[in-house]
Amino acid sequence: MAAISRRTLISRGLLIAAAAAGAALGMTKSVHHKVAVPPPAPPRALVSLLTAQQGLLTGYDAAIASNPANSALLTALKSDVTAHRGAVQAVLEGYPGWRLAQSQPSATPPDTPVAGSTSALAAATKKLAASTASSCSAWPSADSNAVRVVPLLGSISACLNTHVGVLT
Amino acid sequence: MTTPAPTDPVVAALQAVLAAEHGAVFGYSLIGVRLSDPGQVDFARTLQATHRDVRDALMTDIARRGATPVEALPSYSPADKVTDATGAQRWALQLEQDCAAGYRYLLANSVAAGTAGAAARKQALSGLTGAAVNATRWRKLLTPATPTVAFPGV
Repeated sequence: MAAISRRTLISRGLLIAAAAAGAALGMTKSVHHKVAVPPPAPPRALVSLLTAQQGLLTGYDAAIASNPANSALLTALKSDVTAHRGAVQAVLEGYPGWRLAQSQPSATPPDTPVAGSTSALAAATKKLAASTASSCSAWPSADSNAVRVVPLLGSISACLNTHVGVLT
Repeated sequence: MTTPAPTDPVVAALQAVLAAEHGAVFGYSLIGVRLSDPGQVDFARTLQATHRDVRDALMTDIARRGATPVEALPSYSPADKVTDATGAQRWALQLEQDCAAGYRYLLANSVAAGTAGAAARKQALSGLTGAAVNATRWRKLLTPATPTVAFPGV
């Protein structure tokens, strides 16, 4: 039997004691893992508006293709809606949850194309003008983007109302 | 009567709208003279009466809020001299665009007022829409292929 020195004995003893203490600490103290919290989703009203605008634009494309006599006027109206869509997208970029929502296709409802007739465009535009006005009125002042969003929604709603007058 | 803080955002915007409405009341009284189409003359007269009513209501509202309503200027001039019907239509368009800008300003300032600005926001939205629709009717005569603008009031 090999002789064990006193120093070896002490150092092994200390090692075992330290391991035991570490194990005991590990069993009694909870371990906190950092969990990534997703940013809040962008306002549903803006996402719905964007979706409806896309449906309207699809309707304009069909109407312009089937109605060459009015294509200049319809193209002018379509360019307004395209500008609206761009402005709404720009506002959505200000919400941290927007990019995340973009990466999840199921989160964004598919747009409902509007039929390519002026009467269908007028009806869809009227509906969108009303819902945009409601969003404008109800937008919480406490929202960090409110001072930008409220006038934008007001202008879009007003513009859509002028479209209704032109289309009917 | 208490004097509101000079920085009251809603009062400041209401004063801007009132200034635009003063201009519209003055302008439409001359625009009707230069128009020849009876339908357009009627439309101008209707708008003159509407703007007068709105102006009076705004003056009352601003006074009720404890501020002194801005006064009308002695006269208002269009950007271009009005010598014919087209010039009159252009001036009418300019007046409506000025009103739209005022109402959009009110819309923005209603946010700063928080929940107290809810009524002002509703008023602004209605005014902006009305001015935009009126402007479109004049624009249809001036530029029929592009009668609308994407962002009224901007």
